Amino acid sequence: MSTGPAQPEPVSASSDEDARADCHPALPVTAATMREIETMADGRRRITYYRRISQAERTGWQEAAGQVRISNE
Amino acid sequence: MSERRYDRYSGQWVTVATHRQDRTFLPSAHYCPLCPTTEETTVATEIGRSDFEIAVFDNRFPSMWPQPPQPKVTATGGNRIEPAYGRCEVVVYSADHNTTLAEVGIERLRLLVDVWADRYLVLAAEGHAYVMPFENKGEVIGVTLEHPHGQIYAFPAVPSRPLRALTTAAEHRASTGRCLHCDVLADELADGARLVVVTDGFLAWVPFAPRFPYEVHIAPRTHVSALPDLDEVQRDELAGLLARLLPAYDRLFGFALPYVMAIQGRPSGGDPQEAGWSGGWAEISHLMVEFTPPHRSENRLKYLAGAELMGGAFVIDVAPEQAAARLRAAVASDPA
Repeated sequence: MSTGPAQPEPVSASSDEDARADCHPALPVTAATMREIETMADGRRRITYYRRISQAERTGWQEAAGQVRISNE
Repeated sequence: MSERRYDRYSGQWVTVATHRQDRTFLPSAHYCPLCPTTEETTVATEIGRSDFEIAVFDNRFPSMWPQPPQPKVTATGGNRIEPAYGRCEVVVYSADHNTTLAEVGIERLRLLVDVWADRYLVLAAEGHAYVMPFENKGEVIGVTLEHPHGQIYAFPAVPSRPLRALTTAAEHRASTGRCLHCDVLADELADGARLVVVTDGFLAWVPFAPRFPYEVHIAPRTHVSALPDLDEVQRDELAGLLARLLPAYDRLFGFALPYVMAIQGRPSGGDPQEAGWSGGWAEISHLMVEFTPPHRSENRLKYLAGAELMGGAFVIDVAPEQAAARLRAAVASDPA
Protein backbone atom coordinates (compact mmCIF):
# COMPACT_ATOMS: atom_id res chain seq x y z
CA MET A 1 0.00 0.00 0.00
CA SER A 2 2.83 2.39 0.75
CA THR A 3 5.11 3.59 -2.00
CA GLY A 4 7.50 5.80 -0.12
CA PRO A 5 10.28 5.23 2.36
CA ALA A 6 9.39 4.16 5.88
CA GLN A 7 12.55 4.99 7.74
CA PRO A 8 12.20 5.68 11.48
CA GLU A 9 13.29 9.16 12.33
CA PRO A 10 13.33 11.08 15.58
CA VAL A 11 10.92 13.98 15.56
CA SER A 12 13.68 16.31 16.64
CA ALA A 13 15.82 15.41 13.63
CA SER A 14 13.23 15.44 10.85
CA SER A 15 13.54 17.45 7.71
CA ASP A 16 10.23 19.08 8.60
CA GLU A 17 11.82 20.65 11.63
CA ASP A 18 13.78 23.06 9.51
CA ALA A 19 10.62 24.27 7.86
CA ARG A 20 8.92 24.50 11.22
CA ALA A 21 11.80 26.32 12.78
CA ASP A 22 11.28 29.17 10.33
CA CYS A 23 7.79 29.69 11.71
CA HIS A 24 8.18 28.76 15.37
CA PRO A 25 11.87 28.82 16.27
CA ALA A 26 11.27 28.56 20.02
CA LEU A 27 8.82 25.70 20.03
CA PRO A 28 9.90 22.43 21.69
CA VAL A 29 9.96 19.02 20.03
CA THR A 30 10.09 15.68 21.82
CA ALA A 31 13.14 13.61 21.03
CA ALA A 32 11.60 10.52 22.65
CA THR A 33 8.84 10.40 20.06
CA MET A 34 9.63 8.60 16.80
CA ARG A 35 7.74 8.76 13.56
CA GLU A 36 7.74 7.26 10.12
CA ILE A 37 6.43 9.16 7.12
CA GLU A 38 5.04 7.28 4.14
CA THR A 39 3.24 8.10 0.95
CA MET A 40 0.25 5.90 0.33
CA ALA A 41 -0.47 4.40 -3.09
CA ASP A 42 -2.95 7.15 -3.93
CA GLY A 43 -0.54 9.92 -2.91
CA ARG A 44 -1.89 10.58 0.56
CA ARG A 45 0.45 11.10 3.51
CA ARG A 46 0.64 8.68 6.42
CA ILE A 47 2.68 9.16 9.59
CA THR A 48 3.10 6.49 12.24
CA TYR A 49 4.14 7.61 15.71
CA TYR A 50 5.94 5.60 18.37
CA ARG A 51 7.11 6.46 21.85
CA ARG A 52 10.06 4.80 23.52
CA ILE A 53 9.41 4.66 27.21
CA SER A 54 11.87 4.13 30.02
CA GLN A 55 10.75 2.76 33.33
CA ALA A 56 12.02 5.88 35.06
CA GLU A 57 9.96 8.09 32.82
CA ARG A 58 6.90 5.92 33.31
CA THR A 59 7.27 6.32 37.07
CA GLY A 60 7.56 10.05 36.53
CA TRP A 61 4.29 10.10 34.66
CA GLN A 62 2.52 8.32 37.45
CA GLU A 63 3.80 10.87 39.91
CA ALA A 64 2.87 13.76 37.66
CA ALA A 65 -0.57 12.31 37.09
CA GLY A 66 -1.27 11.86 40.77
CA GLN A 67 -0.88 8.07 40.90
CA VAL A 68 -3.07 7.53 37.91
CA ARG A 69 -3.79 3.94 37.02
CA ILE A 70 -2.11 2.56 33.91
CA SER A 71 -5.19 0.86 32.56
CA ASN A 72 -3.58 -1.23 29.85
CA GLU A 73 -1.30 -3.12 32.19
CA MET B 1 -17.83 19.25 -5.68
CA SER B 2 -15.62 20.58 -2.89
CA GLU B 3 -15.62 24.31 -2.21
CA ARG B 4 -16.11 26.97 0.45
CA ARG B 5 -19.08 29.30 0.20
CA TYR B 6 -19.61 32.43 2.27
CA ASP B 7 -22.90 32.90 4.11
CA ARG B 8 -23.51 36.64 3.98
CA TYR B 9 -26.08 36.48 6.78
CA SER B 10 -23.90 34.88 9.44
CA GLY B 11 -20.50 35.84 8.11
CA GLN B 12 -19.50 32.18 8.25
CA TRP B 13 -17.93 29.97 5.62
CA VAL B 14 -19.70 26.73 4.68
CA THR B 15 -17.83 23.88 3.01
CA VAL B 16 -19.74 22.00 0.32
CA ALA B 17 -18.10 18.56 -0.10
CA THR B 18 -20.50 16.34 -2.00
CA HIS B 19 -18.05 13.42 -2.38
CA ARG B 20 -18.33 12.81 1.38
CA GLN B 21 -21.87 11.53 0.86
CA ASP B 22 -20.32 8.27 -0.34
CA ARG B 23 -17.78 7.78 2.47
CA THR B 24 -17.47 4.51 4.35
CA PHE B 25 -20.37 4.16 6.78
CA LEU B 26 -20.19 1.95 9.87
CA PRO B 27 -18.48 -1.07 8.31
CA SER B 28 -18.22 -4.30 10.31
CA ALA B 29 -15.00 -4.89 12.23
CA HIS B 30 -13.91 -7.32 9.50
CA TYR B 31 -13.92 -4.50 6.94
CA CYS B 32 -12.69 -1.71 9.19
CA PRO B 33 -10.33 0.57 7.23
CA LEU B 34 -8.57 1.72 10.41
CA CYS B 35 -7.48 -1.74 11.60
CA PRO B 36 -3.95 -3.02 10.90
CA THR B 37 -3.36 -4.82 7.61
CA THR B 38 -2.70 -8.43 8.59
CA GLU B 39 -2.69 -11.86 6.98
CA GLU B 40 -6.30 -12.19 8.06
CA THR B 41 -7.30 -8.89 6.46
CA THR B 42 -9.10 -9.50 3.20
CA VAL B 43 -8.51 -5.98 1.85
CA ALA B 44 -5.70 -3.50 2.47
CA THR B 45 -6.67 -1.06 5.17
CA GLU B 46 -5.56 2.55 5.54
CA ILE B 47 -2.77 1.30 7.84
CA GLY B 48 -0.37 -0.68 5.70
CA ARG B 49 1.27 -2.55 8.56
CA SER B 50 0.45 -5.33 10.97
CA ASP B 51 0.68 -3.24 14.15
CA PHE B 52 1.08 0.36 15.24
CA GLU B 53 0.71 2.69 18.20
CA ILE B 54 -0.74 5.89 16.71
CA ALA B 55 -1.18 6.45 12.99
CA VAL B 56 -2.06 9.72 11.25
CA PHE B 57 -3.05 9.90 7.60
CA ASP B 58 -4.82 12.15 5.15
CA ASN B 59 -8.57 11.55 5.20
CA ARG B 60 -9.70 9.66 2.09
CA PHE B 61 -12.84 11.79 2.03
CA PRO B 62 -11.60 15.23 3.07
CA SER B 63 -13.69 18.36 3.19
CA MET B 64 -10.51 20.42 2.62
CA TRP B 65 -7.51 19.66 0.41
CA PRO B 66 -3.87 20.79 0.14
CA GLN B 67 -4.47 21.18 -3.61
CA PRO B 68 -8.22 21.74 -3.80
CA PRO B 69 -10.23 21.58 -7.01
CA GLN B 70 -11.60 24.80 -8.42
CA PRO B 71 -15.21 25.57 -7.45
CA LYS B 72 -17.78 24.04 -9.77
CA VAL B 73 -20.08 27.04 -9.43
CA THR B 74 -19.48 30.67 -10.31
CA ALA B 75 -20.41 33.04 -7.51
CA THR B 76 -22.91 35.56 -8.84
CA GLY B 77 -24.03 38.87 -7.38
CA GLY B 78 -22.51 39.45 -3.95
CA ASN B 79 -21.76 35.78 -3.34
CA ARG B 80 -18.23 34.60 -2.56
CA ILE B 81 -16.78 31.18 -3.25
CA GLU B 82 -13.30 29.73 -2.74
CA PRO B 83 -11.46 26.46 -3.28
CA ALA B 84 -11.63 24.33 -0.11
CA TYR B 85 -7.98 24.71 0.82
CA GLY B 86 -6.80 22.97 4.00
CA ARG B 87 -6.00 19.49 5.23
CA CYS B 88 -8.02 16.81 7.01
CA GLU B 89 -6.12 14.16 8.93
CA VAL B 90 -7.33 11.03 10.70
CA VAL B 91 -5.61 10.10 13.99
CA VAL B 92 -5.98 6.41 14.87
CA TYR B 93 -5.43 5.92 18.59
CA SER B 94 -4.82 2.18 18.65
CA ALA B 95 -4.58 -0.95 16.52
CA ASP B 96 -7.28 -2.46 18.75
CA HIS B 97 -10.67 -2.04 17.08
CA ASN B 98 -12.58 -2.56 20.32
CA THR B 99 -10.96 -0.04 22.65
CA THR B 100 -11.65 3.64 23.29
CA LEU B 101 -9.55 6.62 24.24
CA ALA B 102 -10.72 6.05 27.82
CA GLU B 103 -9.16 2.59 27.76
CA VAL B 104 -5.89 3.03 25.87
CA GLY B 105 -3.92 3.89 29.01
CA ILE B 106 -1.75 6.76 30.11
CA GLU B 107 1.24 5.85 27.95
CA ARG B 108 -0.80 6.05 24.76
CA LEU B 109 -2.45 9.27 25.93
CA ARG B 110 0.99 10.73 26.55
CA LEU B 111 2.07 9.80 23.05
CA LEU B 112 -1.14 11.31 21.71
CA VAL B 113 -0.33 14.66 23.34
CA ASP B 114 3.02 14.61 21.49
CA VAL B 115 1.25 13.65 18.26
CA TRP B 116 -1.23 16.53 18.57
CA ALA B 117 1.60 18.96 19.24
CA ASP B 118 3.69 17.65 16.36
CA ARG B 119 0.81 17.78 13.90
CA TYR B 120 0.17 21.40 14.95
CA LEU B 121 3.78 22.25 14.08
CA VAL B 122 3.76 20.43 10.76
CA LEU B 123 0.39 21.83 9.66
CA ALA B 124 1.30 25.33 10.82
CA ALA B 125 4.49 25.15 8.76
CA GLU B 126 2.35 24.27 5.73
CA GLY B 127 0.58 27.60 6.13
CA HIS B 128 -2.78 26.60 7.57
CA ALA B 129 -4.35 29.24 9.78
CA TYR B 130 -6.04 27.12 12.46
CA VAL B 131 -5.21 23.57 13.53
CA MET B 132 -7.97 21.87 15.51
CA PRO B 133 -7.66 18.28 16.77
CA PHE B 134 -11.03 16.82 17.62
CA GLU B 135 -12.84 13.55 18.25
CA ASN B 136 -16.42 12.58 17.53
CA LYS B 137 -17.20 9.59 19.74
CA GLY B 138 -20.31 7.45 19.54
CA GLU B 139 -23.02 6.72 17.00
CA VAL B 140 -25.30 9.38 18.48
CA ILE B 141 -22.63 11.92 17.53
CA GLY B 142 -22.61 10.63 13.97
CA VAL B 143 -19.35 8.72 13.72
CA THR B 144 -19.06 6.63 10.58
CA LEU B 145 -16.20 4.40 11.79
CA GLU B 146 -16.26 2.67 15.18
CA HIS B 147 -12.50 2.11 15.41
CA PRO B 148 -11.10 4.53 18.05
CA HIS B 149 -9.89 7.61 16.23
CA GLY B 150 -9.92 11.35 16.16
CA GLN B 151 -9.32 13.90 13.44
CA ILE B 152 -7.37 17.07 12.82
CA TYR B 153 -8.71 19.82 10.59
CA ALA B 154 -6.25 22.43 9.37
CA PHE B 155 -8.40 25.39 8.29
CA PRO B 156 -7.44 28.13 5.82
CA ALA B 157 -8.81 30.77 8.23
CA VAL B 158 -9.76 30.84 11.90
CA PRO B 159 -13.27 29.31 12.07
CA SER B 160 -16.11 31.43 13.38
CA ARG B 161 -16.48 29.97 16.88
CA PRO B 162 -12.83 30.21 17.96
CA LEU B 163 -12.63 33.60 16.23
CA ARG B 164 -15.54 34.85 18.33
CA ALA B 165 -13.82 33.55 21.48
CA LEU B 166 -10.58 35.26 20.44
CA THR B 167 -12.46 38.50 19.84
CA THR B 168 -13.95 38.32 23.35
CA ALA B 169 -10.51 37.55 24.78
CA ALA B 170 -9.07 40.53 22.89
CA GLU B 171 -11.71 42.84 24.38
CA HIS B 172 -10.90 41.52 27.86
CA ARG B 173 -7.15 41.91 27.34
CA ALA B 174 -7.66 45.45 26.05
CA SER B 175 -9.78 46.50 29.03
CA THR B 176 -7.92 44.67 31.83
CA GLY B 177 -4.48 43.88 30.49
CA ARG B 178 -5.02 40.23 31.44
CA CYS B 179 -5.77 36.93 29.71
CA LEU B 180 -9.48 36.12 29.87
CA HIS B 181 -8.82 32.40 30.31
CA CYS B 182 -6.32 32.99 33.11
CA ASP B 183 -8.98 35.06 34.89
CA VAL B 184 -11.63 32.36 34.37
CA LEU B 185 -9.25 29.73 35.75
CA ALA B 186 -8.58 31.85 38.83
CA ASP B 187 -12.31 32.39 39.36
CA GLU B 188 -13.11 28.69 39.05
CA LEU B 189 -10.32 27.72 41.39
CA ALA B 190 -11.46 30.27 43.97
CA ASP B 191 -15.11 29.22 43.71
CA GLY B 192 -14.48 25.50 43.56
CA ALA B 193 -18.09 24.44 42.95
CA ARG B 194 -17.55 23.44 39.34
CA LEU B 195 -14.10 21.88 39.59
CA VAL B 196 -13.77 18.28 38.47
CA VAL B 197 -10.01 17.59 38.62
CA VAL B 198 -7.24 19.85 39.92
CA THR B 199 -3.56 19.10 39.37
CA ASP B 200 -0.49 21.26 39.87
CA GLY B 201 -0.59 22.44 36.28
CA PHE B 202 -4.16 21.94 35.01
CA LEU B 203 -7.80 22.41 35.89
CA ALA B 204 -10.75 20.42 34.58
CA TRP B 205 -14.08 22.05 35.30
CA VAL B 206 -17.68 22.38 34.19
CA PRO B 207 -18.03 25.88 32.72
CA PHE B 208 -20.15 28.45 34.57
CA ALA B 209 -22.45 28.68 31.54
CA PRO B 210 -22.00 25.45 29.56
CA ARG B 211 -23.77 24.49 26.35
CA PHE B 212 -24.15 20.84 27.36
CA PRO B 213 -24.96 19.48 30.86
CA TYR B 214 -21.76 17.50 31.38
CA GLU B 215 -19.47 19.74 29.36
CA VAL B 216 -15.92 19.88 30.73
CA HIS B 217 -13.07 22.23 29.91
CA ILE B 218 -9.42 21.44 30.59
CA ALA B 219 -6.75 24.15 30.55
CA PRO B 220 -3.23 24.74 31.84
CA ARG B 221 -3.13 26.98 34.92
CA THR B 222 -0.27 29.03 33.47
CA HIS B 223 -0.62 30.98 30.25
CA VAL B 224 0.13 28.43 27.53
CA SER B 225 -1.42 29.38 24.21
CA ALA B 226 -0.93 26.25 22.10
CA LEU B 227 -0.14 22.53 22.38
CA PRO B 228 3.50 22.68 21.23
CA ASP B 229 4.28 25.16 24.01
CA LEU B 230 3.50 22.59 26.74
CA ASP B 231 6.70 21.40 28.40
CA GLU B 232 7.34 17.74 29.20
CA VAL B 233 5.89 17.93 32.70
CA GLN B 234 2.74 19.68 31.44
CA ARG B 235 2.32 17.03 28.73
CA ASP B 236 2.64 14.31 31.38
CA GLU B 237 0.01 16.07 33.47
CA LEU B 238 -2.40 16.53 30.58
CA ALA B 239 -2.13 12.83 29.71
CA GLY B 240 -2.66 11.95 33.36
CA LEU B 241 -5.68 14.20 33.62
CA LEU B 242 -7.25 12.66 30.51
CA ALA B 243 -6.54 9.21 32.00
CA ARG B 244 -8.66 10.20 34.99
CA LEU B 245 -11.45 12.14 33.27
CA LEU B 246 -12.24 9.82 30.36
CA PRO B 247 -12.88 6.65 32.44
CA ALA B 248 -14.89 8.84 34.84
CA TYR B 249 -17.09 9.93 31.93
CA ASP B 250 -17.72 6.24 31.19
CA ARG B 251 -18.58 5.55 34.84
CA LEU B 252 -21.01 8.50 34.96
CA PHE B 253 -23.90 6.57 33.39
CA GLY B 254 -22.31 3.12 33.14
CA PHE B 255 -21.50 3.12 29.42
CA ALA B 256 -18.90 4.56 27.06
CA LEU B 257 -20.09 8.16 27.03
CA PRO B 258 -20.31 9.72 23.55
CA TYR B 259 -18.87 13.20 23.18
CA VAL B 260 -17.39 15.77 20.86
CA MET B 261 -13.90 16.75 21.96
CA ALA B 262 -11.88 19.61 20.49
CA ILE B 263 -8.60 21.30 21.30
CA GLN B 264 -8.65 25.07 20.91
CA GLY B 265 -5.74 27.48 21.15
CA ARG B 266 -3.47 29.87 19.30
CA PRO B 267 -4.17 30.21 15.58
CA SER B 268 -1.26 29.09 13.44
CA GLY B 269 -1.80 31.82 10.87
CA GLY B 270 -4.07 34.68 9.92
CA ASP B 271 -4.08 38.20 11.30
CA PRO B 272 -5.00 38.95 14.95
CA GLN B 273 -6.71 42.08 13.60
CA GLU B 274 -9.52 39.71 12.56
CA ALA B 275 -10.23 39.44 16.29
CA GLY B 276 -9.75 43.16 16.80
CA TRP B 277 -6.32 42.69 18.38
CA SER B 278 -3.20 44.60 17.42
CA GLY B 279 -0.76 42.32 19.24
CA GLY B 280 0.09 38.67 18.69
CA TRP B 281 -2.25 35.69 18.80
CA ALA B 282 -0.46 34.27 21.87
CA GLU B 283 -1.62 37.21 24.01
CA ILE B 284 -5.29 36.39 23.54
CA SER B 285 -5.09 32.59 23.13
CA HIS B 286 -5.08 30.01 25.91
CA LEU B 287 -4.90 26.29 25.24
CA MET B 288 -8.13 24.50 26.13
CA VAL B 289 -9.55 21.01 25.63
CA GLU B 290 -13.35 20.97 25.39
CA PHE B 291 -15.56 17.93 25.93
CA THR B 292 -19.26 18.18 25.07
CA PRO B 293 -21.16 14.95 25.78
CA PRO B 294 -24.72 15.09 24.42
CA HIS B 295 -26.30 13.05 27.25
CA ARG B 296 -28.32 14.91 29.89
CA SER B 297 -29.15 11.66 31.71
CA GLU B 298 -28.54 7.94 31.31
CA ASN B 299 -31.19 7.62 28.60
CA ARG B 300 -31.84 11.19 27.47
CA LEU B 301 -29.94 13.27 24.95
CA LYS B 302 -29.62 17.01 24.70
CA TYR B 303 -30.66 17.91 21.15
CA LEU B 304 -29.90 21.15 19.40
CA ALA B 305 -33.35 22.39 18.49
CA GLY B 306 -35.19 25.68 18.03
CA ALA B 307 -33.55 27.75 20.75
CA GLU B 308 -30.04 26.49 20.04
CA LEU B 309 -30.02 26.08 16.25
CA MET B 310 -32.19 29.04 15.35
CA GLY B 311 -31.59 31.35 18.27
CA GLY B 312 -28.06 30.43 19.21
CA ALA B 313 -29.38 30.32 22.78
CA PHE B 314 -28.50 27.15 24.67
CA VAL B 315 -30.85 25.77 27.31
CA ILE B 316 -29.56 22.98 29.58
CA ASP B 317 -31.33 20.77 32.07
CA VAL B 318 -28.67 20.13 34.73
CA ALA B 319 -27.14 22.70 37.05
CA PRO B 320 -23.41 22.97 36.28
CA GLU B 321 -22.58 22.69 39.98
CA GLN B 322 -24.54 19.40 40.22
CA ALA B 323 -22.91 18.10 37.04
CA ALA B 324 -19.48 18.89 38.48
CA ALA B 325 -20.32 17.12 41.76
CA ARG B 326 -21.40 14.01 39.85
CA LEU B 327 -18.28 14.08 37.74
CA ARG B 328 -16.09 14.51 40.82
CA ALA B 329 -17.77 11.47 42.34
CA ALA B 330 -17.17 9.52 39.13
CA VAL B 331 -13.50 10.49 39.16
CA ALA B 332 -13.24 9.46 42.83
CA SER B 333 -14.87 6.10 42.16
CA ASP B 334 -11.86 4.89 40.14
CA PRO B 335 -11.55 1.23 41.16
CA ALA B 336 -7.76 1.23 40.73
